[in-house]
Amino acid sequence: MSVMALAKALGITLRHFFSRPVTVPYPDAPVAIKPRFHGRHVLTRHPDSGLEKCIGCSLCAAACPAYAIYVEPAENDPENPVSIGERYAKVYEINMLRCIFCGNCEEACPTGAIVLGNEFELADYRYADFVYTKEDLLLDAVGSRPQRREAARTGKPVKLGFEVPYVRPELEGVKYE
Amino acid sequence: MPKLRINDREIEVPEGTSVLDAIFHAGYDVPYFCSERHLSPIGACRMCLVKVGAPRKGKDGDWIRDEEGNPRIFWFPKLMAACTTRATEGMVVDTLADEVKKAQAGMVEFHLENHPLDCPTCDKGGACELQDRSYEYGLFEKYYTQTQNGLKTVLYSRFAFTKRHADKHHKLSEFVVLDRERCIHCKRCVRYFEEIPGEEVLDFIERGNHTFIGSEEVPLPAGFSGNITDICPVGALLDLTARFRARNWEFEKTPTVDMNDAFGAAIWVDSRSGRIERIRAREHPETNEIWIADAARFGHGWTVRDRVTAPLIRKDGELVPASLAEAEAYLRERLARVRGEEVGLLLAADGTLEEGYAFAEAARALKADHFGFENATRFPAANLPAARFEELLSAEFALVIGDPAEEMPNLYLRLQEFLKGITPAPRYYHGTPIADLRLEERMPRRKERLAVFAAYPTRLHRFAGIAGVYPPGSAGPLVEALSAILNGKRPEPVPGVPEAELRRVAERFLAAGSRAIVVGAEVLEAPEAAQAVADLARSKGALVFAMPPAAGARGLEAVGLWNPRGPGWEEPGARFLFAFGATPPAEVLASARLRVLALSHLDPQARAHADLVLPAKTFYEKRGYTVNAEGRLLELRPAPTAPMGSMDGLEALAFWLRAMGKKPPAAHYREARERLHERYRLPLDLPEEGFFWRPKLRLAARTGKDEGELFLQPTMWKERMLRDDRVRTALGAPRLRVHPATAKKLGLAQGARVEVATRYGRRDATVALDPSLAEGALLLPAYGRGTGRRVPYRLLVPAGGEA
Repeated sequence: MSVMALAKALGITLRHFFSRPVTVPYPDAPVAIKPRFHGRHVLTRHPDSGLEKCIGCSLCAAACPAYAIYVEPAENDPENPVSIGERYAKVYEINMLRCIFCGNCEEACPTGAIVLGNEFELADYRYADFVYTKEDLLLDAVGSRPQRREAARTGKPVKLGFEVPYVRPELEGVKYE
Repeated sequence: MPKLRINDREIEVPEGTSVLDAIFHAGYDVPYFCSERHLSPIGACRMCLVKVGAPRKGKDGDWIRDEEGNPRIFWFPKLMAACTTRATEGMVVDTLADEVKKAQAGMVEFHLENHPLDCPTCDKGGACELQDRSYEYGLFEKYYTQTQNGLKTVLYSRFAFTKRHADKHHKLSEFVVLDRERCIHCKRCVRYFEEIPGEEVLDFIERGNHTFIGSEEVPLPAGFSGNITDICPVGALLDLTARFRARNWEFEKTPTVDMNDAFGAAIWVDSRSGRIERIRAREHPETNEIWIADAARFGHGWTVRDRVTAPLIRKDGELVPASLAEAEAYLRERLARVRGEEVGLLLAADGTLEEGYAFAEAARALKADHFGFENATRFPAANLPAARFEELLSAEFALVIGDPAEEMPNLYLRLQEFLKGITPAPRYYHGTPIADLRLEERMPRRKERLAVFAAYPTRLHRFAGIAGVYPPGSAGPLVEALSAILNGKRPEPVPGVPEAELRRVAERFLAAGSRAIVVGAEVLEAPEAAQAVADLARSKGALVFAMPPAAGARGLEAVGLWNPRGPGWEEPGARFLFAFGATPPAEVLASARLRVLALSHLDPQARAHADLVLPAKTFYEKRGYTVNAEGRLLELRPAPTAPMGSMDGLEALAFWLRAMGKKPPAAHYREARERLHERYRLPLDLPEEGFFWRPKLRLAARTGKDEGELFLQPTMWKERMLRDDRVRTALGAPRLRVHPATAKKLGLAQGARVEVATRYGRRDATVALDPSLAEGALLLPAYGRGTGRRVPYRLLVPAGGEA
């Protein structure tokens, strides 16, 4: 082992000592994630009419390898429809403990209603709280269930712990800010 | 027996087999949409095109032969529809040729041309024949819009196709919805109505691309309309009770038996998340074939509403929920020093054989006098010889006294087959023939083969050569008069039916080589008449089909739940009463000191009288055997929908007996089944077609006569089904049908709203004057309570009504 080698090694150390750190001080700073990151699902809406895209066809549940999805459809009231067409999802539940975030549901969806978003901060305390219902999944809900609970408790807006360079177009109407 | 070759397989099929059935019999597949079992083949959809060739005979009567001496095959110039082509000797069928594949793929595309792409919202999705066949036989790309030389061309048409648009939500009745865009014009539903129940209701309207299914009669006549939702190959006709409840693959499918009537029709119970969502017909060739009645199919909404989910104990006049331990303590305290003779044990009409056995054994052990089952008739149906439903088809003359369309709807469909002269179809490798060439559209009904008598004009009257309407209560005298004529004696006069008419019936009865007698509840309520039927069956060799109002009657009577000397379901008797599955009439409840009812639903009588209510399972949720009207043992299998803690009859009876400090005869269905096996040699496991159990019985009949004016007319709909709004809307207000002269005497006007009070409770009804009834007739739908009886009544005029 020569002095040269020692100096070379120290040089590497010194260079990294003065370079920017790669670690992220999460949760104080947001994590930069890729737009295609598979996170918590979003039930999107038609942008112009605001109607739900989901027609309650249960194909996501059929495609789900983890049996994480439960859909109960119902017939739309023509006067006051929930979705386009005659059928909508009265109950739409995803068990986030079962979900393996494979994205098969998104692929199976004939209307592009269920899309995997980027949110990943889903940790919670009770089993029952992991069953996300329509109100947790629809576009209007920002943040996971514990985050929204915290926001409601403190009165502050939901703070998302990540940032994406852009939101992919399938997540129509979703804004991660 | 023609021998023919399908692709590479040589097979032999019965005479009259279609090529379609021959192909399936050989183990090959061919797509089809318009053919359906038990319907006539018409070749409407052109899906089953195959290459067919046959040898020809020369002038010398011998086959024309090729150089090698084999019969030469002459191929048909074009592809043939397999469903309407008869298989003949030496025929050669090719289902795998390229031209066949191309033709079939082309037909799939034609069918899909106008078919909307709403499979994700369609209730048929996943169980759709068009879906399956287009996957199996369709092309992956559209042929008619393919790009050639860089140009988009539409072959054979100057116009780009747009899908046809039509009415998507056309309600045909409260239960059936028609989507005209999805219809592929297979004509199954049109043929079904004409051929099976014999009502020409639906038809094609307009032609070509504009063709649609329409009806003059909306709503569809209730009775047998639901079967079209089963046979529709696409999602054009759908069951509204199950509309958007779940996808087909999500249902828990339970094969069981319908217990709304004694026919024992095989059904599928489709449930999800602990709710029964849909009932479908299950194929059982020997009994219901592939049909069930509307009441069996659509009358399931009651099961999910207002279930009793916990024991209810009466405290300060109110039934309040309690734990099972509290219920047990309550019962122990009250049954502490009760003697066995003071106990009454009653079972619902849809009780299983195991339950019947346990109730009968318990009653015997307790020396109880008051035991029996709901809707037991005076004459036990088990005393009458039983014939198989299929045997009816071999009869030459049938005499019907009663209303099969309501009392046992599937028997009505069998009678239609009998009228058309259809015999049971041969069984193939794939089961029932799909395209049975013996069947035709608009087959003539041989009216001379049928004589019908009932207390009102039934559906069957239209098809009968001799038809009569007698005043209620005359069924007994009619049978006795007929039996007298047949035995060469002088008959007593029967009101409403001239003697000459009866003599004509007797003449045809004796002239026929084999005869059948179908008797309804009214005859079973007249013991002498029913005995006369039993004697006729013996002396004249007639087949007997009895239609007892209790679904399990034959089996329950045979296992000993029959006590003609003691008080029955409707008579006050025991002081400590236990009833499972149904509520006895109010006077029975009122006369007892302790009333324990195991019920799935509370009704007004139970609410008013019960001291303790235990949660009970419905027949959809029980496991057990039942014996149908032909003496066939069938198995009920449980759908997973019973609320936690609800009991079947065995568990509830064991609960009661343990509170008395007695050992139950069987605590579990398996134990009861073993007892039945030991005593009656019943099998522990049933083959699919059932097992005949027809012990020769000579049970004593119950004596007595109906004392009342109001005839309770049989209905396929049951009281409990009326809990469902949809059923109530479909049926409308019950009609109090009165002969005009009788109405005048009673001061009733057409359309008046009245309340009729009988021992079974009160019912709102609208007065309907009906000159087709016999004079003196006053009819009210029974809805399963007291079917075929005449009971005393009081007419009350509700506020706002006038009489």
